[in-house]
Amino acid sequence: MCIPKAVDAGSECKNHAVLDGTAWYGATSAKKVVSIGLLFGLLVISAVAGLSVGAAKLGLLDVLSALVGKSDVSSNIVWKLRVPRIVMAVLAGWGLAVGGTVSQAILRNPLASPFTLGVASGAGFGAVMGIVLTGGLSNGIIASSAFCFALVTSFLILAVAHLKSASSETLILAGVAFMYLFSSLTSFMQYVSTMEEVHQIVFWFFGSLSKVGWAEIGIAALMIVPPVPALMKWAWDLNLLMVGDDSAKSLGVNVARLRTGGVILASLMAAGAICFCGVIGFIGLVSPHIARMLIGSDHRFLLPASGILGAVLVLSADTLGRSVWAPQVIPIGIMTSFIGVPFFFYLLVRRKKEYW
Amino acid sequence: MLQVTDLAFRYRKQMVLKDVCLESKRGQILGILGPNGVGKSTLLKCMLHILKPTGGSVTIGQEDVRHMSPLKRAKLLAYVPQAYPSKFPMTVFDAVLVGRRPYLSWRPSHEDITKVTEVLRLMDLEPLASRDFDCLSGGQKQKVMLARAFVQEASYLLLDEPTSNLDVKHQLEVMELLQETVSQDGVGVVVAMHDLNMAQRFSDEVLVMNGGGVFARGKPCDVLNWKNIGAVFGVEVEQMKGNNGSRCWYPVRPFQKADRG
Repeated sequence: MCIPKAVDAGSECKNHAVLDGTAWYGATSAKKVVSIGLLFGLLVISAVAGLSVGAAKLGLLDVLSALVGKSDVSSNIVWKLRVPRIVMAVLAGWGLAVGGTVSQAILRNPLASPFTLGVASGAGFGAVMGIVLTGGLSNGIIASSAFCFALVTSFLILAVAHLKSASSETLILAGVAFMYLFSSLTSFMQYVSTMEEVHQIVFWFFGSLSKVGWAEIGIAALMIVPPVPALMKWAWDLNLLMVGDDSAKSLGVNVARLRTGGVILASLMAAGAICFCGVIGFIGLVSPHIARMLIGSDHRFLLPASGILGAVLVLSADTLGRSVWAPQVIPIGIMTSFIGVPFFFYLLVRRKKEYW
Repeated sequence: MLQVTDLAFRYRKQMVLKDVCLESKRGQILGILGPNGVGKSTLLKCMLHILKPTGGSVTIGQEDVRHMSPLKRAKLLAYVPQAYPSKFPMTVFDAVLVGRRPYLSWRPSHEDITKVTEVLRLMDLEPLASRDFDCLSGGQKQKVMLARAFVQEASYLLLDEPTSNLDVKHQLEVMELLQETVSQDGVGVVVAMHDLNMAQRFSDEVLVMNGGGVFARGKPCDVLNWKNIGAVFGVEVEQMKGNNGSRCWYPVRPFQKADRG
């Protein structure tokens, strides 16, 4: 389309240099790709640090020789204890962060996270049911129960959205309502449980990576990895949701379908993390914001950046949790906030202009 | 031609639109006038199929908008909404680029980028390209929204009160921009507005709505008179003449109950 005449958009428009759009856009995109690469490098460093830090301190060479199986003792420590823990930390961080990014986009709310959709409280209630029913003896049943209730919550929210409308306000209000319902049910279960069960419930809510094996990792990966291609395909539509439902619809986006699909995939990813690791708060809320501050709001770049950042945060929190008070292990759910909050405030204060 | 025939829309039990008929021709501006809550925005949303009409039809050429794919509809109809919600940072360039969504693959093509750059340049928004959309003034935001609609390259532009938040200078700039786009590119424009004088000056035709239906339709000089304005808006107006012979309306006072009786 040819636009006929230049119009004045204010004083900044005078005497400006001509913009070479292709070069400028190419350069900004390249910067974002480099940022994602740097974040990935940070993830690798965090993983190596995670492998070497713990009750048995291993040097870099020890870790490398353990990875190739040259030392029996170190190999056992690395392959049986630390590698599964690190893989699960990466998966959980990625799942929670990407789930949070999608939740914020589809609900168009910076305070949203998978927890806003009621997933965490549903999973928490499921875990409590599992602990009470089995006396805390079966991790498999506890995780399955947590997973089932996480999904039940998502479907209840979708049912409410279907009855009313799939607007962001409806989803948030339904999520908050179910969050309170499941929190009350969890409190009631705690009230009628034995001291031993209450102890296990409290421990589950702290979050932990210590009971994770390869079977759990496999199931979590099945829930966390497959949604990624679909979400990346929807990246432009998620960008459009940020400019309003009506604009998105007029540009050809099926908003109701995108929002329903987004709720299902974000819940699935978060449930994959929560049901095996317990409640790891904060990551789903803050990773998307930190990633946005670093590379902007284009979901083609934001989704991977946020996912990697979430993995780095969970991994660093776990490594610090295992090392600062060794041999005691500080639960991951506590450590993520200890690490993430100061970093988040630093970025928030350092920015010259208003973020929201 | 964009044609609306007997369009009706009901929200629960409340009839919002009834028997609305209009035609928008390419190369013309159709102004839609009416008091608050009369259904102007609802009419535009029904035309775009954002809201599903409960009766009647909207056709472009011979094809019903209802039966078009969302992407085809987006290539024919562009929309500039009244409000622009924004909760997350987004550069002006990106805010305009999303207007290319009907043509975009995962990676924007050279053509997509060139179109956006060209429109930003011609609208003098180029220096703001890397700025956060949320940090712009109301007038600048409105221009960015228009730029987004322009890069969509649709045959018809549907605008919902595009000048409502602007000062007089920006109002004139936006309306002149629309007028020149229409005359040069042959785009059809349907614009909901409140300002009688802007409608009088810039519209090729006006449609005055009242009570969810069409009250009057035709050329501004035929439709906009003290009698129709009084009946629809409930105000007494005086007609004034400019130096170049143009007409404008000066609102004197709202009618009292006794006046209506």
